[in-house]
Amino acid sequence: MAQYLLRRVTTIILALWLIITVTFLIMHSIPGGPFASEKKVPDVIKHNLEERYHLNDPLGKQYIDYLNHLVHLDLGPSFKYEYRTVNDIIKEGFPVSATLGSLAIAFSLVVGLLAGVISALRQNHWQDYLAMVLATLSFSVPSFILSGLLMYFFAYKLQLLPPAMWGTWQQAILPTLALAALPTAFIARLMRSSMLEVLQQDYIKTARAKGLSERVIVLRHGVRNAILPVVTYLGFLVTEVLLGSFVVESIFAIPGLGRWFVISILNRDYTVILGVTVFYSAFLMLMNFLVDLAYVAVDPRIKLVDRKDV
Amino acid sequence: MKKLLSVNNLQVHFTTFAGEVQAVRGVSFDLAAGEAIAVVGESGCGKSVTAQSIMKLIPSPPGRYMAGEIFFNGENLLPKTEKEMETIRGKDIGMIFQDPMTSLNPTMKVGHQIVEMLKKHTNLTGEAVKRRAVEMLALVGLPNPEKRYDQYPHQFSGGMRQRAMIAMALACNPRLLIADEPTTALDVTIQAQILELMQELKDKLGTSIILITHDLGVVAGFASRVIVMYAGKVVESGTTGEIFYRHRHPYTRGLLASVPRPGKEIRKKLNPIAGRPPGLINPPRGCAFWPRCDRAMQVCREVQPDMVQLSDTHWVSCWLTHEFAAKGANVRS
Amino acid sequence: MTGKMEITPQMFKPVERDALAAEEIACPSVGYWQDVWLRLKQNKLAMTGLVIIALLALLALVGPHLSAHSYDDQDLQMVNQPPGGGYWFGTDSLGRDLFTRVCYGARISLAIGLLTSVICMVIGVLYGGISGYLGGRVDEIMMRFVEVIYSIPFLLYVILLMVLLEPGLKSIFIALGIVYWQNMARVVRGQVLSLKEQEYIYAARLLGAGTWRILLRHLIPNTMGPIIVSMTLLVPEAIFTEAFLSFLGLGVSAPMASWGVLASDGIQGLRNYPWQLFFPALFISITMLAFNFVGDGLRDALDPRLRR
Repeated sequence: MAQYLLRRVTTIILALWLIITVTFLIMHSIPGGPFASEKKVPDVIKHNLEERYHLNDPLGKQYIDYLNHLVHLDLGPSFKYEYRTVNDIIKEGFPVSATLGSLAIAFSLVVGLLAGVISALRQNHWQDYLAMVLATLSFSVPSFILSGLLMYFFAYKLQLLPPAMWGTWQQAILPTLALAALPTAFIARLMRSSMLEVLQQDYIKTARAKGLSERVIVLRHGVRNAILPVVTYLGFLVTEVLLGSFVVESIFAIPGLGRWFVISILNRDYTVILGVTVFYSAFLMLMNFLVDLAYVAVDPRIKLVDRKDV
Repeated sequence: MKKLLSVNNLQVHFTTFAGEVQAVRGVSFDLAAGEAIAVVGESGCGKSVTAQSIMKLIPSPPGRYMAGEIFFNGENLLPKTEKEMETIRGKDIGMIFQDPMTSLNPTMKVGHQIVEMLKKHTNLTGEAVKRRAVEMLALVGLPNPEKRYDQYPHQFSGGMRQRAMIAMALACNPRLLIADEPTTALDVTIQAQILELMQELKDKLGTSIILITHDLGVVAGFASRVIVMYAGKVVESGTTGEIFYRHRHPYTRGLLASVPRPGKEIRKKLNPIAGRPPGLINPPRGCAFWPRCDRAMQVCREVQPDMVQLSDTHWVSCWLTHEFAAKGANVRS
Repeated sequence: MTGKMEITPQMFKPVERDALAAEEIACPSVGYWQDVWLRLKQNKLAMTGLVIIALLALLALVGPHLSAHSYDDQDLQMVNQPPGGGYWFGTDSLGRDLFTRVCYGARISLAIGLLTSVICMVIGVLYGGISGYLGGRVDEIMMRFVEVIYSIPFLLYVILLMVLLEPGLKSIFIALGIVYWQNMARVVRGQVLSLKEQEYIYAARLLGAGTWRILLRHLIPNTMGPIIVSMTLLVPEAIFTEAFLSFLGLGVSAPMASWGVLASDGIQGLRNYPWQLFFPALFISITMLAFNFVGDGLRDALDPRLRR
């Protein structure tokens, strides 16, 4: 157990360090990169940059300074907006993104798991076919196209829901759907195959032979075991939703961090791109770590990795 | 003795892509209270399906009960609904399976797996349930039952898991225990221990036992009667003595010849039965064993032999017992 | 049943046996790939997928010649025309013919999908093959590296890289190659590990074959099955990711256009000119479905557990 966790933590720290170093080098060494000295940037920003990054220092010192700032959670100023820092942008945008993301994750878990279990229990019946056709279709539409289609039909054609902006619950429906479609489909398929496999297991037969009711067998013995692969997927789920949020927030004009990120890309606001990337990576790795912990909690077998008492 | 279980002309079919598999083709036998019998045969002969049918555990689809009756305690189980069966499974009939590594739920503590059943079938609550479960774990010879109660199956060895399975199957004091190849997946030394345990508990608790096995070797000291199955049918049944020493069916003889036995025959080679059992999508018209039988006669190909009674307890289904067989003669002995 | 036929003493003669009759007639042997193909042919979805892929390839090749317009002809008189008339799929905001552009997009998107998949295959086979074959410490370090990389949200870094690189096809290949090679490396390594313990490798080694020869002649051909499946499933994923990058403005540059670029352009005029989104979207989705069907079908056809 301790060894298992240690291994995960070292992997994460290693990966973060690798990321930071590589991004630092990319930013500084690519010709035409943001810190190339002959760039034309407004004086105020040049001043900010100079003050923050000490571009005349040797590269090694700059690197140490950069790491030092990161350790103090300071991501530096914007390259395009004179009086904003990356920290401001994150503080403003992240809560919105987190809300939307949580909605999408909750939706995909609830609907995906339900659909998966029902498909497995009704294998080769219409419920199964319907769920799997929907899942396959969701797999084949990129999220920005799905966002566009949803907006066109529900907001413009049928005029049922507002096409954009953020604040009311009606405004949350379409973006949540657009963001959740792909993970929902994935979870449904994963849960279905996992459930089908579990229902074949001997211990399900044992449970039946014990005279337990079908409901108890399916929930306590079936779903409880079938859900394990879905838990391992949760890390990818968060990543998926985060990447999807770039697109969905942009299309639905939601003032979240994802939209800011896309705007920064279009504006080539290098320091914001860099800062948000580092922030996102740290966030995702933290999430992955939590998922690992959750996995240890739900699968008793994992605990025994380095303990041998039989 | 009073009959506890009586299976009459049971027929079970499975629908598969290849066709209708006639897994059990008219099996009959009965069992007295407190008795232990063994059902033997090769894999695929329908013995497991028969066993699971008694608890109505055959999933449907693809399985279907085509005909027959299963009287347990004077009641026919086959027409019963799932809800009614739930009150019988685990409570009146317990079952243990072949592979103890996979028949316990890996994500649930062993104690809880016993407790959830006790809660369903008894009035015990709270501490009493737990006490009963720990008691059962102790009864099957698990050291440290209190600690074992709170452990997961992966913390048990194979033999210990099978003990836990037995504890679970017997927790509600069932009248009948069906053991489906309970020792097949275990080491030889553990096999003996598990059989001994079952024997001991049978005597202590008065439970009737049906032991399903492909290994006649484990039957000898355990069961009072043996039922030999082949291709979904009973081909011979009798007391253990009759089956071992006065068997009449060539298949029974073949099974016995393929069991290693210590003693004077130790130098003899083992004789496996050549060939494989027939497919049961299109079962043979005559005796299903004739293609592998070294004494097959023309009649065996054409006509199914009837069950013939040889003694109070000994029945066999083979043309060799027919009066003409002696005359048609050239039987190599 | 038994009562119907009369039992006579004559019937109790022993059966004469043909000594050979008891032996099973061996099935005619079918080659591995032939077998796979036979099973794939039975999978209707997979075959439909194959046909669709063939049609798309045909469209990409001859499509642009079917239309009177070239993909970069701007006609400012004919801006945002709905489908119909001389423009089968309508025109875009610069008056370019959408049909021609979609056919051209097919070339670019399919090329991106296929080439990415080939690039990843090469990297993956080399990396995974070496790691699995050498085993021991080297394997441990190489796989640990993959594990570390795998835990990084890689697409983020690709975005970062693309921001800095010149946009264009080459950057896209680099980006997609970086994102997707690790999975292939894992697949190959797993295959190699399971294969290398088998006898024929020992045999080859006894005959004096060197490491490279064993790798190229024996291991790689025998690991082809899962690799082909991964490659097939990688094509739609690459197209998907390229579309995503296009949306972020990091796709191929104008006047060239992949389906992703066309679709993200289409989003801008969605309210009034929805066909500008619909057509590229339709093609992306059909391609996804087709490749996924073929990939799933191949996986089923190759799965030895399904072999009977």
